[in-house]
Amino acid sequence: MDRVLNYLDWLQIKKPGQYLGPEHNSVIKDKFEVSAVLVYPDLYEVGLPNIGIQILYYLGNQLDFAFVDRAYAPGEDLALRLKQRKLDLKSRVSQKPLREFDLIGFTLQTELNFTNVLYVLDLAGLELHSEQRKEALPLVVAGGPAAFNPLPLSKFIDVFIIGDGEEPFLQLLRLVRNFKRRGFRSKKHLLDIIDHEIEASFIPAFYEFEYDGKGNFTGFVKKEGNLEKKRVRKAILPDLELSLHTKQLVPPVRCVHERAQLEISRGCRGGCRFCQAGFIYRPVREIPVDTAAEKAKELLLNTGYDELGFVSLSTSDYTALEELLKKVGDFCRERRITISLPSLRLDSFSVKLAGSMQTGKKATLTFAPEAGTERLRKVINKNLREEEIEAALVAAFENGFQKLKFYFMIGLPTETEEDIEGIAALIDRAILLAKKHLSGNLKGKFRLNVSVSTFVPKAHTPFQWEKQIMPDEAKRRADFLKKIVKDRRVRISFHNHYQALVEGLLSRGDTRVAEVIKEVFLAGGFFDSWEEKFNFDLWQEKAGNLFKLTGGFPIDMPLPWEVIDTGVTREYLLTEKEKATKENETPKCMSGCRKCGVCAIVPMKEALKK
Amino acid sequence: MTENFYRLTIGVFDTASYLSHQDEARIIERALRRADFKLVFTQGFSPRPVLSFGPARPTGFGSLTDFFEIVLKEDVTGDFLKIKLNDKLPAGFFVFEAKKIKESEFGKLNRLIRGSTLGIIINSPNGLDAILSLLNSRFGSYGLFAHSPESERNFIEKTDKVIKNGKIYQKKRGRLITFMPHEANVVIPRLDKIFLAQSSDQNILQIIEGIYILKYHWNSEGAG
Repeated sequence: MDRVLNYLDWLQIKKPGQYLGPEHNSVIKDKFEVSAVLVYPDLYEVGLPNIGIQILYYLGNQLDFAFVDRAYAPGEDLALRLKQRKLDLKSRVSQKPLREFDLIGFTLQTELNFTNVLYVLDLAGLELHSEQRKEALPLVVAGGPAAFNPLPLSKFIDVFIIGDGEEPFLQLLRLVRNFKRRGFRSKKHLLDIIDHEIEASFIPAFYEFEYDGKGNFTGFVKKEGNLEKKRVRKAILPDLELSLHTKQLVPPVRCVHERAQLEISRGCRGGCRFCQAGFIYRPVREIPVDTAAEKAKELLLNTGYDELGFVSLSTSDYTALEELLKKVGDFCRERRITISLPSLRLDSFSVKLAGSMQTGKKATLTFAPEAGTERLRKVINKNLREEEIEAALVAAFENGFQKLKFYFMIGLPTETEEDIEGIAALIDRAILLAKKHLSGNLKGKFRLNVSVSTFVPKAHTPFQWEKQIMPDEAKRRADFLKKIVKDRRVRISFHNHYQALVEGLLSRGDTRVAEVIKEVFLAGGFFDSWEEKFNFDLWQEKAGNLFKLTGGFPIDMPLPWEVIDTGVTREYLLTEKEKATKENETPKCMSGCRKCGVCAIVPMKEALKK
Repeated sequence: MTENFYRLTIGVFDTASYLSHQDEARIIERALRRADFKLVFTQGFSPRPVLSFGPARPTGFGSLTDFFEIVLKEDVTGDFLKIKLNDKLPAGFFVFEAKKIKESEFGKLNRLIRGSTLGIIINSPNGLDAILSLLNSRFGSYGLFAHSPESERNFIEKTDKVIKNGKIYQKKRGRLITFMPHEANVVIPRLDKIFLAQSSDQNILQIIEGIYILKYHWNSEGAG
């Protein structure tokens, strides 16, 4: 059999254009000293829009000695053909086998992609275990939010980069170039250099993780590498403008998001206690409004997208949102470019702003009250009053938004039946207000989509010690909610409760979970983030009693992920945990420093503390 | 405000042929936006640029002659539109012609086109006759496979033009075999389906590097 995929082979693959079609703004080079391939371990349509990869892709290719390419997890139809023909997975642009690159860098956006990391390594023809890859290159690196607990993947990844990846990635490219120039070969040597030179690097091979006789995690010891560096401090990009670029990639096929993405801020002023992003991306940094407006236009003209999305954990908190919208409004209106405002705060001011920004197609407004009662919202520090929600809904309907989307969680700490009834009450309230405030011809078109997920406690948050509810309990609460929400204009959907449990296991897992991931993968379990592909039975069989890791941790024991230092102190997280049980709020950090610890590393700019 | 109507004749080459006709429409829209042309939009909740397509090119087929019709709020020459678009289109797409049409001509392509001639690129420069007779004996019931030096010259000419403009990376050197279906009124014969249905012929079919739409056949009232 021929060792390449020929024309008719490609015609039998689903959406061949995702692997081969020309992308606008992609880069190809024939002369370089060091090469890296950035991998999003999910399908192209999911991975391409990822802004983190796009930033590193652009910045890396700005270095004249480096070539950066990308790769994605291929669909199973292609994977099968690659296996049958003994072909290696190739990179997206240069179509080179992954193992010919010096660096293979995975982004870990969700724990449910962990098995796919192995899927990609395997298709690349590489050993799964880090220690079995004897050569220094290719070096397998990983970063992204789910790397903040690196232990579950620690057996497979050579180097984790924790925090903002911009500077460490460029440094890594330089170190590998120098390593190659000097003709060095030893992997141990390379890891040693990286451990010394890159503060935010975590190299699992240099650590020993310890457990007691009962299987409890008891701590870690650093045995090799830079022995002065015990915990790994995350990298913080001091100035967000350093990552700004306007050559975003335009995919040739449909993707989950197709819009120009402008990151106007990183970090969040709020302190929602369930939200990992809120803690790991601190402190808040912003792009100045004039720069943002100018770059937005440049980005739209460079990509040709008909939608502009502002990327931010909390768009409403951007110091000059109204001014920014004013500055790009006419440009977008003339060209029917839709402005999407994700992560809007649920207040009438934000909603009116969104209403005034109808420059393209009519958007759906998304609200995330997260919890049904004010009491529970105080517990999670999502500080929203009943009246604020109501005013926001009125504003939404008066501005002609007839389609709304609500996000809620079930299984939050201290949740009772009353809180779930609170979700139903909020939905009823929305229906009533829609009747009253939507104008005549829109009334009939009112639709409310309610998306309910199971709360998964995450590392580095005040809820990192909490117990996660089990799938049967989640199902009981979901059924209860379904029973009391009856209106046909409301579509309520629940995230898979079993996926949530596995996400929980991987989020707070330790080094023992690595074997589970491998066994699940070898037994055919991957693409776990796709509900139709997710196989819980397999996880149950392989994880066995390790699911106890979702049952919570005592506060007097070290936690597996504490090898990573986010800058936020343990004491602060404990205080926040304590305040949660007392239903005490913690205001946003612009109204005064809460002493979480991050600004001791990189202080927040004065201008942002308004 | 005056509206100006244009018909684009677009070539689709190489890896771009793996994209669907809808993908292609989106790519053209984005190229128009990158060139910052003033587009005419539909009314309603979701305004879209007013676009009209010729026959849908099957995914996997290249083309010398995909048709798209667009409407602009500005009056530019066809050549200006062509040059600007070629500057903004990704590799594999090339506008061969952009011409102004009358409003009354807009959106009627599908009624004017009744059939097409396909070209099969094979990567073997030798033994053309042997391959032809093989194809005709295996798949001859669907249509006639033939070699037309004129079609081949035309194809090479057009490809060279695209290469010269930097819109394809690699030059392929093969031979071109034309295919005309026996059945009249088949707009685009699905040669790919015919080939793929005959799995026992996989070995012969390995020599195929691409299927292209070479030209459309117009109804008597239609102008080419």
